[in-house]
Parts: sequence; C-alpha cells; structure tokens
Amino acid sequence: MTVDLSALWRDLRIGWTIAYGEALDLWRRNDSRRQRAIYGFLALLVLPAMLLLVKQGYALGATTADGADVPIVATARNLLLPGLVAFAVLGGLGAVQSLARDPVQPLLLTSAPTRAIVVGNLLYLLGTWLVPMCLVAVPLVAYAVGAAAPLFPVAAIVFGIPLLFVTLLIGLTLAYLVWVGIERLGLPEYARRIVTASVTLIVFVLAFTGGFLSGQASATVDQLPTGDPATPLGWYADLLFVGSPVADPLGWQTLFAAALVFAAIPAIFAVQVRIAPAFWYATPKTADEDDTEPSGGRPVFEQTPSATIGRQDGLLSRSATLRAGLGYVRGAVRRPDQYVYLLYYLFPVLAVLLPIGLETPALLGPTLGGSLVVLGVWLAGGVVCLNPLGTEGAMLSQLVLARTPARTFVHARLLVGVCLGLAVGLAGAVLYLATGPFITLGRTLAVVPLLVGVVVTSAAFALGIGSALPKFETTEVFDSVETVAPSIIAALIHGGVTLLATCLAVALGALLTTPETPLSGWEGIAAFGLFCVVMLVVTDGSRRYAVARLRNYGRMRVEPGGLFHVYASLVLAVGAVVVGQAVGSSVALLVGLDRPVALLLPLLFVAEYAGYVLVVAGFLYVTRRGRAYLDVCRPSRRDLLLGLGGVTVSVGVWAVASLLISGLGLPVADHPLFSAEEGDPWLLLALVPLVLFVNAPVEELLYRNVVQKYLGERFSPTTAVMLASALFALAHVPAYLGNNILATGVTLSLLFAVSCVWGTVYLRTENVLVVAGVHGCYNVLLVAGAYLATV
Amino acid sequence: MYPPQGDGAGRSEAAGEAAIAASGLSKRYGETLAVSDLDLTIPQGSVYGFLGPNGAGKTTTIEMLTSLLPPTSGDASVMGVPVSERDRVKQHLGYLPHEPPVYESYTAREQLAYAADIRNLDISTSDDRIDTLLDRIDLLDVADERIGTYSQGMRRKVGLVQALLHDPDVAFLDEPTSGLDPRASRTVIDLITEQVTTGTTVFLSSHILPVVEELADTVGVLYEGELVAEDTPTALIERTESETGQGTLEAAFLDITTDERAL
Repeated sequence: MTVDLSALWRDLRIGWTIAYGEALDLWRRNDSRRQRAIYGFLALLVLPAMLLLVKQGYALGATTADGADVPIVATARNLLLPGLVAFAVLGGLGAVQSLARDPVQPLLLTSAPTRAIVVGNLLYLLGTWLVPMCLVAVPLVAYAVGAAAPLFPVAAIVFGIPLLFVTLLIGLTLAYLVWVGIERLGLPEYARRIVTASVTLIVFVLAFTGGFLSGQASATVDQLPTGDPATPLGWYADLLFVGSPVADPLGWQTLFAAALVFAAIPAIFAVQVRIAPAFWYATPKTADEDDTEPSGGRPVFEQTPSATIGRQDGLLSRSATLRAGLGYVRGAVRRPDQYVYLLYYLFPVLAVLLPIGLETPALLGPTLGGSLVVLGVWLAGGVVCLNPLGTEGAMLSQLVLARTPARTFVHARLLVGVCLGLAVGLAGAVLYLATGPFITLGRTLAVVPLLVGVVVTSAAFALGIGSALPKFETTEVFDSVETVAPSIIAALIHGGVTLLATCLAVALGALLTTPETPLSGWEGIAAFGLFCVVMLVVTDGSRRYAVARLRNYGRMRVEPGGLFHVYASLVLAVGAVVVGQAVGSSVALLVGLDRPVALLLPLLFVAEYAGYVLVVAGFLYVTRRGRAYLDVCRPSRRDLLLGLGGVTVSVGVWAVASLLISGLGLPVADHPLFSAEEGDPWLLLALVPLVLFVNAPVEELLYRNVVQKYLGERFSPTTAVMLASALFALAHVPAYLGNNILATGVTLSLLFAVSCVWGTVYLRTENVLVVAGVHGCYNVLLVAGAYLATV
Repeated sequence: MYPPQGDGAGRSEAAGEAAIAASGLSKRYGETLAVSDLDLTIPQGSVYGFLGPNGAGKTTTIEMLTSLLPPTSGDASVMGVPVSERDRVKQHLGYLPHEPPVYESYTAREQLAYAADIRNLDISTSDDRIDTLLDRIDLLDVADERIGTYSQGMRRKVGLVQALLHDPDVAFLDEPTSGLDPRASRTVIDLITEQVTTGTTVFLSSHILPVVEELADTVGVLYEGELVAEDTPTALIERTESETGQGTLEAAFLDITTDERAL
C-alpha cells in the first residue's frame, strides 16, 4: 500500500480549515454584551484562585528543586490508564455529534474528502480540550520556573498532546461504534433517544463507581499505587516528567510505550476514517429538513400556553396564570424528551450518593433525602424557568404582542417551578426526617420553612438569570436529543447560587436552634433577617427582571420599573465590593502579603477601587448607556461655589454629629484605616493623595454618577439622593464589622447624612468632578484631623 | 486520486455518460416509503426540473443523489461514478440544500473563501471568481457584512454561489429562487442559465413553476415517492391542455398530482 503524501497533506490542510472555521464561528457567536460582561465577572472571581495556584506552584517548585520524596512518577504510571479511559469516554461521547451540529454540514459532506472531515473534527475536538488545559499549564509553568526546570513544561506539553490526541481519537472511534450500533438496533425514535441519552449517564456511573472502588482498594493496601503499572502504556507517564526534578531515567518500557502511542495514532485514525462515514450517513439527521416528516428542531408545544386561555371552567376560567401554567405542564408531559438535559442534575447527586452508598449503606437514607432536597431546589428552576424566553420558540413574538400581560406567563412558570421543586424537595425532607440524625422539632420548624423559601427563590432566580442569558438555538443534549436546553453558564450560576443558598439555609436553621449557638439573640435575629431579606430581594428582583425582559423583548433597553432600579443599584453596590475584593486579592497574591505596609496599602487601595471602576464600566457597557452617561466636564464658577458650600455643609454636619454623639455619649465605630495605623502617623499623611485622587472620585463615580443618576431615571431627585446615600452607607458595613451594632449604626447614620449632602451637590452641578472634589476635601480634612490627633 | 476541483477534468473523463442516472432507487423510513423505485437518466448539460407537492420525496431523492443518504435499495450514479463512492462522487457535485449551509457569523466573502478552501480550489483564481459571482448576484456591496444580517433571499444567493463556485459538473439546487424578489429571481435564473452553457448539468427542485418552465429541458413530477410524469415542459402542458383546456405548467402540475384514488 502506498501512501499518497500530497493527498494526505491536502486533507490535513482542508481539515485545518474545517476546524478553524468551526472555532471561528463558535468564537464569534458568543459576542453578546451581557455574555461578555458575565464571563468577565466570572473570570475576575476566579483570578485570585488562579494566582494562588501559580504562587503555590512556584513555591512547590522552589522547595522540590532537588527532588521530592513522593513517588509521583510511579503513581502517575498507575493512574495514567484509568485517567485516559475516563477522558476518552468524556471526550468521545461529547464530540460524536459535532458534525451534525455544524451548520455547514451538508456543504462539508458534499465537498470535502472524508479524511479531511475526520481531521477537521479531531482538530476541533483537540482544540476545545486544549484551551481549558492552558489553565492547567499556567501553574505547571510556575512550578517549572520555581524548580528551575525549563525542559519540564516543554516535555509535558510535547508528549502530553499526542497522548491527548490518541485518547480522544480512541474515545471518538468507540463512540461512533456504539452509536452506529444503537442506530442499527432499529428501535423506535423515543426509545433510541432515551437509550442514547442514558449511555453517558451509565458510563459516568460505571466510571465513577469503578474509580471510587479502585481508590478505596488502593487506599486500604497502600496510600498510593506505586508498583509497576499493569499495562505497558503506563510507562508513558515517565515522558510527561522529563526534565522535572522528580524524573526517573527513561527505560526501555517508556520508549516502548511511546512507540505504541505514536504507532497507534495513524492506525486508529485509519480505522476512524472507515467508521465515521457509517455514522454520519446512518443518522437520520436530515430528517428535520426532509419534507417527508413534520419538522422538528424547536420544541413545539402541542397546546401552546395561550391556546388554552379561556377554554376551561371553574378556577381555570378565572386565572390566566393557572391556565398558562397548565399549558407549560402539558407541554412538558407531552414532549418529555425536551427536558432530557435535566439528567445532568443527576450527575452531582449520584457523585454524592454512590460513594456513601458503597461505603456506609446505613447513611443512604438521609443522604438520599438531602440530595432530593437539593434536587428539588435545582429542579424548581431547572425545568421551566431557566430559559423562559428561548423555550417559547416561535410563540415568543406572540406572547410579546398578546393582550395577556407578560407577568402572567412569568408567574405561571414560577408557579409550575415552585410546585415541582416543593414536591421533590419536601419528599426529600420527609425522607431525611424519617431516617436522618440531628433532628429536633425546633430545628425542623426552622429549617423547613427556610428551604421552602429557597425553592421559591430558586425558581425566581432561574427566571432572572435565564432571561439575562436566553438561549434560542437547539443543542444536542447527551448527543441524542435536539432541544432548546438552557445556557450552560446560566445553569451553572443558578445551580451554584441555589446550592449555596440551600447550605446557608440549613446552616442558619441549625445554628439558630442549637443550644450552644455562638450567636447572641440579636445577632441571630439579624442573621435570620438578613438571609430573608436577601432571598426576598433576589426573588422579587429576578421576577421583575424576567417580566420586563419578556415585555420588552426585542427592544434595546429593558425598563423593569421602579423597585427593580433599587435592586439593580443594590447589585451594583455589592458587585463593586465583590469585584473590588477579587482584584485586590489578586494584586495581593501577585505582590505577596509580606511586603512593607507602605507599599502594600496604597497598592491594595488602588486595586480595590479599580474593581469599582470595572463594575461601572461593565454597567455602562451592558446597558448600552456608554461613556456619554458620565457627567465629566470642566467645572463652572457656579460649580466651584456650590462645591465650596458642599464642603462647608458636610464638615458642618460632621461637627454637629460629633457634638451630638459626644453629648449623648454614643459609641462610634472607627474606620479600620484610622485605627490600624495609629502607630504610624506618617502613613495617615500618605493616605491623603489616595483619598483625594482614588477613593473620592471612584466612589462618587459609582454612587452618584451611576447609582443616583440611574435611580433618578425612575424616582424623584430627592428619593434618588436618599436611596443612593442609603446604599453608600450600607456599602460601608463590611469596613465596620466587628464593632458593636449601635456604634456601627451611629457611624452609618453620619455617613448617610454626609452622603445626602454630596448627592445634592451632584444634583445641582451635574458634574461628578465637583462632587468628587467635595468628597475628597471632606476625607482629607478627616484624615488631617486624625493625624493631628495622633501627633 | 482527488484532483483540485473546478478544472472541468471530470467532464471529459465521463464523456458520453449520463450526468445523473438512477435505477430502482428507493428510500424507506420505518413504515413510510419516501421514494419508490425511481429511474432517472439525465443527459449532460441539461436542466432537469423536479416537481412535486410537499412531502413527495424530492429532498430525499436529492440527498440520495448527492450521496448524503444511503438508499434502501437501487443504485444511482453521477457522471458515471456510483454515489456509494462518496469521495469520488463529491468531486462532481455542487449542492444547495433547502437551508443554505453557511456560518451566520461569517461574511459572504469569508463563507465563499471557506467553501473554496475545503474544495481545495486555487486561491488566486477562486478569489477572482468569488468577486465576479458576488457582483453577478448583486451582493458585492454587502460582501463584508455578516450573513446573519442578511435576508432569507440573500442567504439563498450566497448558498447558490457556494454551490456553483467550483464550476461543478452537476449542480443540485433545492428551491434556488424561494424567498427571492422578482429581480433577484431573474438574476439567479440568468446565472443558472450561464452556468449551464459552460456544460454544467442542473438538477432543479422547485415549487415556483414559471422558473421550472423557463429553465428546464425536462420536467419530472414526483408524487407520493413515485415519478408519475416525465417529459419536456411543452409536452406536459400540451397534454394537460387537451384534457382540461388550460395551458400552463401549473395546470399540468395540479392535474398530475391529484390523487386519482380520491376522485
């Protein structure tokens, strides 16, 4: 057999074009402003953890530069094969339908050589795995730098990529075989869908159980499996450590394993070129376009929610919400296959249940109960709420134009979600109560209502996040069922946040009812109240946003009404604190916390406020308000006079407040900046430029130019000033944590009063520079006062 | 074994062969017989109009002839190459499916360059041809805007150019003029006519009967998976005229595709 090299080169080139084309399309499709802002926000939150890994990697490298006492390579030899099998299954199953999903599939299948399409598919698959793996490579490089082993990351990458490639190749080839086999069974359409959808779940369960059992077995024999690997392939692991301090000299086994891997690539590739077409052409993927069958694709409600309106008697004839809800239930019952993506929720549940069931079967009951509670919370949002716009399909434009108000449809989804979530969650709670430990009557009475609240919040929050990140295109769920599944990011955020809320609710309920609780009575009530308020705000805010998005679907701006502006401002204020902390801790990790305070303090100060600026920029970007929203201009003479007045009045307020406080003998909470630096008065002076040029302008930008102005779009100027000032005061709560409640209250009241003065100055001048100057001068005067007091 | 496409080499190689030939071609989906025992012989350089009501099996037939769908029974060949030899048959094909296969995030120019690349066309000549064709169908002004912003008709035109870009021996066009306004339809019809003069055989499926009437040398009518009539448009019209008194292809279509059992 002769190999036609020029044809091979041509197919590789065309394959590259195919992979690059698909990747470019993927990149360009994810370009909505909201998506970008949310991805950016998530990236910022992950940044500190990433930096910590880099730092730890470097430190580990530095300490183990002369070799480590842990048999890493021997362990890797043993774990290589199980790891690769899991990876092959994941990668192969996930990619088997990628051609069918490609919009240019008919073009490819009628133009490009088969081998080129196989190459294109593989390269694209490899790329989608390599991109996230770059994140792994970063700490690896940090380790190599620390260990002064420059060859190590190069070797790991050079030898790692072929291994990855051959694994994906095998996985994909096996997946093709399995799928073609299922197609050939000649099952009816529904059965085929369910079988293919379950394959991934079954494989996951098997792999997880197997992995757990083998881990358990090896843990009982020895801590780590360090013997010779069972298969020759395991020796390939040595290549991944070439150049590192822990590397062993390469033996003949390793060379044999490498030869095996490199010989396998062309062989398996050739097999796949033979098999893949059988799959591409066997699947009835063109059935949707074929006019011999009714078109599928988008889920079609057999009875649309609005079609049921006005046709029932009794309660249903009176409540449009109930009728719409019934429509959603009917849609779900008649086309259950559109909800196959819900099986994904079973993965984490099984991942908890399996090990516990295998290890201590006695705990299975309460664990199942607890898992069902979490599942209930997830399903409350996951079923009908997580993609309220996308799942309407072609009905969406009708709903927007319908006379029935948008809130009817949103509330109907909320109702269905809550009912379903409560049914599953309460069943789980009952199971736990029947079998689980730590149960008292008081605790049950505290936790169960909190969980009911979490279920409602979950459904509402899903509506909100699902409206913010709608998904209209269909996807292949479990590579078998084409449906409009919710956006993955929306699902992850919803799942994460509601899981956190569930844990908090349980912890709070337990904490309040434990006799040896560390919380005092008032603190307990405050914590309980705070939790309830946050839940309430999230629920109502999400609900309002979902209604507004549906009502204003297709318009550039969403106008969700007054109260929503308050919630959005709250989100901005909290978001600024969170992002500020994320940026601050990233910088701290980068420079290291062991630097002199004179360097660290200004740096962290600036970094934190840089986070505020990011939030402001994100707000202007996502809401398309743009730079024109900023009121920055050269101050007029009148502005300067107003500014001067503002400084005078705010200092006056401070003086009067101080007199009142000392007169009444009230406690005051000290700002940590002032109290911490008592020993070093010079540092206080160093704060002056920071306060003047960083703190004041940035805070005013956020609280006056964004929050107050945004609130002013809906409320009267006075209300906007008061609300923005309240938020400004509340945002300072973290700074005064640890002081007693009364002292904090007194200080926050003073902040509120001063902030109202600044809000008025901004209102009159409409120039953020002036009010930043006023705020800066006031702060400088306070710092100067503190300096004089300490000197 | 797989020469660069578009040099017309295939045409001389297969001289004398029918452009499309099918015998006993059938496709069954479960219980439904979508296409039943279809025989076709379409000479090179001609235009074959393929008519039939919704659900008659036109798309299934095209997919079998373009090698996308394996037939349940029967054989077919394009330019003398059996459709089962996919990699060889692809070299002779251009295909515009019902939904044009384009990336919405690409511009028309990028999409066509992509199509040229995966067909291994010579870059410098294909760039010229892309410009010429885009100009020909009045898309040159918007050639650098994303296809996602195009109207349905503009997308269809991009899909058509994509199918004709490599000067194929046989072009399968599924509804090339649907969604086009009269002027755009005219441009497309002229483009197809021009393409035929270079020797391309066109297999044209359409509901728009005047287009078929103008372009087709032969018309085949598919009804419930069976080829119920095949003749020149004039002959079909004359036959209907003598029966019903109406002399249009529309009348012929309605006459032929009326279920006789239902009468």
